[in-house]
Amino acid sequence: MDVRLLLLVSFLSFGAANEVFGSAAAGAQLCKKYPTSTYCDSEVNSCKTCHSTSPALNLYGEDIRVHLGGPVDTASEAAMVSIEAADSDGDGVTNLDELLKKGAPGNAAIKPSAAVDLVYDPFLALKRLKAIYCGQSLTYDLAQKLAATADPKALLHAELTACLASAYWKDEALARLADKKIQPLAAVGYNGNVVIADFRWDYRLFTYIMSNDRDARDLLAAQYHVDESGKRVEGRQGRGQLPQIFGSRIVIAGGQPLVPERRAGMITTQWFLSFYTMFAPLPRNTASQAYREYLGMDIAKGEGLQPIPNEPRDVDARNVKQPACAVCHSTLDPLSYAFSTYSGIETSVLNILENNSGTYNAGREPWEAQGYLMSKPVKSLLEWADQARNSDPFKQNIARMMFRQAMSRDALPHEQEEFDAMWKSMPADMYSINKLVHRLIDTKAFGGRRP
Amino acid sequence: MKARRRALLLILPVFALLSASCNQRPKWTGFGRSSGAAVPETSSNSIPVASETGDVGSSEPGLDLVWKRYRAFEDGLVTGLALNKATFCQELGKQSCIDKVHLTFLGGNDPFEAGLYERAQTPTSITAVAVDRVVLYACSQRLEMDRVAASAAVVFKYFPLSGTPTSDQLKLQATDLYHRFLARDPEAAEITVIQSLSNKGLAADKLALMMCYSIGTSAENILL
Ligand code: HEC
Repeated sequence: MDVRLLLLVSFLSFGAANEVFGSAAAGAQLCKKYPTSTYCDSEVNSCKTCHSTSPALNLYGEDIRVHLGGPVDTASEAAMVSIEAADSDGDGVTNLDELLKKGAPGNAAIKPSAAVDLVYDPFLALKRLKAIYCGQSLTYDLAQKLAATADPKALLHAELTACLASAYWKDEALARLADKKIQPLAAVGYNGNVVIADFRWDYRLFTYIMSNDRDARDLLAAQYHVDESGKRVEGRQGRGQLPQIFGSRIVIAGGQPLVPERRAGMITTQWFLSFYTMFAPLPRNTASQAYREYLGMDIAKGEGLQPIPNEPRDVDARNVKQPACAVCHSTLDPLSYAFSTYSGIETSVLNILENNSGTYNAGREPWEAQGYLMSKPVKSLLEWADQARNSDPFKQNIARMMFRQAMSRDALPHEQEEFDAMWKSMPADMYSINKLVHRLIDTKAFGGRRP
Repeated sequence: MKARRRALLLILPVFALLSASCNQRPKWTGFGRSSGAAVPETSSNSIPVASETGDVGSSEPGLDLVWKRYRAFEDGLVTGLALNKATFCQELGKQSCIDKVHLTFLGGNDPFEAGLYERAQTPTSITAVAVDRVVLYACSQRLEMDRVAASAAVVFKYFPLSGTPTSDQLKLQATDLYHRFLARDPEAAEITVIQSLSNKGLAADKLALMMCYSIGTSAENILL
């Protein structure tokens, strides 16, 4: 939290809360007026038309601000129209043309591109896929095989299949994809001086779900765990180290004590609940991390704001009702209620002995059934997770994660169609990451070269 | 240890040579992605930016490149030059170049000890330095191994390492190195450049190292 709060303080000192608020409303207006414009494909992206990194405005956003004749949530459309003929980013293309033809009015590096027909280059694709999915350099022998084969695509897919089954992919590449989601902290992990939970369970679960054609929705559904040998195990899992209360090393918790019927995959491990909730009555950090990492929306950046009427009620008296806070907390607090019956770190002697950190406790707080996720009510964390894992943002987030993992960037405007096809195919592919990656390497974004 | 000292002795003249004569080596520091929309370069001694959001790179179709990151880069050297992965590159004889010392700049991240949860999105100019160092380690190690192996040499086997190679021998050696690093045959123009070195009066082992280093650090080996 610390970093976020610091960030918040700096936001607020620049009066940025209003801008965050502005983004949501103005972004919606922009996408209504120019529905096919580059960033209107998803809620997460829509702020990019006006913001570089929210809340900072880009040149187009700055132009809108200068031309505003009233409050941002009502007057921004007029401002947009008034600068249609201008060229805010100075790249030689008018704002209107950028908005209509897949440019970006606030980013000089992105202009409507002349239609270029890329050709798919199997040699390029093979070099890339070996590096990304096998952690290997292409060898001359394999390149020769590719040159000789009548069916290069078949060779690419066979190689990819082998890569996705390799130790490199499962133990290393997938683990690195999980780092941001788990945020391991050695000092309080299984080997630390104060052990609050064992995040190795989290890595194993993530890697298991993301490999071997398993259903990626298990990230928010799994009621099982995965043991050190890589085997799926059911039920509660005993702690690996005995509790230790006195002395230089303190072991508070370990294993996976949460009852299976209250689990929802990665967001209910002992590490996740302990590390993000800690001692908070209302686990805002936990909800925000789940929303950010599994639905791709970062509330701290003003993304995914879907305010609920009469919220925040400020149930734990943190002063979040003030307008400067309500901007985000009218979404975040209802998002967090469902987490409030799951404990964070429990430090009483009895709780340590009973391993109660990260367990379910119906009497912990009274707000469990009052929550909302993406404007829909949710009665429990199980409902929260069910709604989340079947939503479009979940699919988009997974596809974006795999696209970024390969290309180190987001899909560009001319690649949007291929990207959309990727995430939309997930239900048909039974949410297999392997199948998604097989689709990815077939795109021109991955293997395209100018003729 | 003697071998290492010998390699170090080699390094200096090679550097001098490279900067003087080898402007044929593709330049890839700076990392503007060929479209002219250059990626903003971070100041040379800062940690690379750890963010994969946003629109870095070219918006022009088909000009974008993929960074061959630490593991694949390492594999290219270890497999390509038939080295021992565990020992081929140890800074100060102790710490793995790839997994520890240069990890971040070669595109990796260490979440556990360094607390880095994200890798760098693009290479920085320090990446170039790290690549240079690691490739030089790998090439000079293979050179020393082949010097000892003599007739059983694995990579540097097309001419005696103490002598003056002919231009045909250079061509054979270069072709083999192109296969090993870049998985393709060299183009005629590339061979011509290398053959032009044969009459510069360089010792054979220096030429061998220089070829290995130049091809191994070429942009094509790092940005796919
Ligand atoms: C830009 C959106 C935003 C604004 C504005 C904002 N918050 Fe938050 N707040 C968050 C997010 C997001 C979190 C969860 C932590 C995270 O993931 O960054 C959070 C967490 C918190 C927490 C929980 C911290 C903890 O450790 O449990 C408190 C308390 C809080 N905010 C109070 C406030 C107050 C008071 C204000 C107004 C002065 C405010 N916030 C304004 C987004 C915001």
